[in-house]
Amino acid sequence: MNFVIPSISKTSVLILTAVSLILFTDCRSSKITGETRVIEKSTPGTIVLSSAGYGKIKRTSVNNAIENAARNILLRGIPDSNQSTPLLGLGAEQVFAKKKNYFENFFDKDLEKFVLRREILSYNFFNINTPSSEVLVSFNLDALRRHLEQDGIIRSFGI
Amino acid sequence: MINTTFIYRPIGAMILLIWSMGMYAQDDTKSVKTVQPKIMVVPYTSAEKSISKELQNNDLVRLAISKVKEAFDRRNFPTIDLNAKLRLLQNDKVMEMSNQTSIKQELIEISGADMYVETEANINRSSSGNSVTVILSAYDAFTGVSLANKSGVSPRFFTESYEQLVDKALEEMTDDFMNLLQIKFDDINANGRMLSMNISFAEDSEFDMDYEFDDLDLLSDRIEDWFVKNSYNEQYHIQGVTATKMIVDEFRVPLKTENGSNFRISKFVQKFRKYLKSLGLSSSRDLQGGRIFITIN
Repeated sequence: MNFVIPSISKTSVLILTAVSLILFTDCRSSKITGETRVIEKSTPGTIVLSSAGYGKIKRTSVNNAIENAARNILLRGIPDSNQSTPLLGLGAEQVFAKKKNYFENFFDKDLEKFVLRREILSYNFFNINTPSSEVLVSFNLDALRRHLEQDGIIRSFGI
Repeated sequence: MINTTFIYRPIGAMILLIWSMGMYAQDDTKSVKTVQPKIMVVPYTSAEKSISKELQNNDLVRLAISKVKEAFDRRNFPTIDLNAKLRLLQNDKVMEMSNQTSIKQELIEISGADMYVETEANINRSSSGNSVTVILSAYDAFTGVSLANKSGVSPRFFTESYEQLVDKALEEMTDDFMNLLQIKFDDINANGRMLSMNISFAEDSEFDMDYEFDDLDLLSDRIEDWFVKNSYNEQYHIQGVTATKMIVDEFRVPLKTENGSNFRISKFVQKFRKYLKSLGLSSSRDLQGGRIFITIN
């Protein structure tokens, strides 16, 4: 069998590599973990957490830590906190899967609005499978809950 | 020049059609608002203590109740004010009753609360500092089923300012208590609300639960068959049956009827009484919120 290998110039290879590097290093890290814990008792309506972030560059890693913290609040709840149950309710995983596009958009555009405080406690990159940052992040839980209620993702308090 | 009428007319018609479909869809999704349960926050009292005295004398409980009510307010969910109800009932029979546990039950019934939250605050004194334990328990007023429980302990401080300790303990637990209650509400939404039913016989009644029909079915069997058919997803629990009484401590009914309106307990009772009539039994009924009393004559 004869395979036809298209000829690619050195310049094209370099451009492709550069574009790939930009695409794969500077975007949101997709590593999802449960490495989120409560670090201080919060006042009602807020939650203060420490979350691990993955990513080669600092910004990506910090964003990943914040997104992971939010995902854990929404889907699993944080043990020993004032949100120990999933914010999306008992069927959290189904709600999340059903509204995938909504949450993609939420993490990209809206999540920032509910962050009251962020503090990078540490950053050190070893490899992609080890958390590179630890971030203290505080969320406005009441506002986040109301936002999800208004968007029809969760029901208002009551039956 | 190209005659564009041929292009625009069908497009216009399509837009009109889609728009009208949208309007229809909006009307279709318009639903009747679900009637929300009424909740009252009350102090926990032992059998020999009075609710009003506990409220007057125990600052910690008053503060705890106020904080729990605030938590409900933050979720935009109003509660029945216990103080206002007590004032209304001040010279009523509730105050004359000797048994304090009955007073609490009576108060809950008269207030029209569907659910109540018992609040308890206890001081813990020790050589390493003082702390306060707060216990919150929510119950269904008609079935007595526990809905949510949460306890919290404040950090220990060398202070006699117990109000601040109560504040600290509640700060850390009210959000989660509300979340647990919401989980129960979600369950009610999915599996129906709870009612309780007490079926008894008038003193001069010719019938009892052991009355046998021609096909050898007992009256209690026939009633239970009706429960199977008419409870939501066949969810009911019979606490006990004797010849003179049947107590159904939990009976689930849907929140909405098939046409989308709120489920009415009175209609449900009417249906049950019609069924009894079809068996040749006349009956009377009493309704207290979700608690149903049927007397077969």
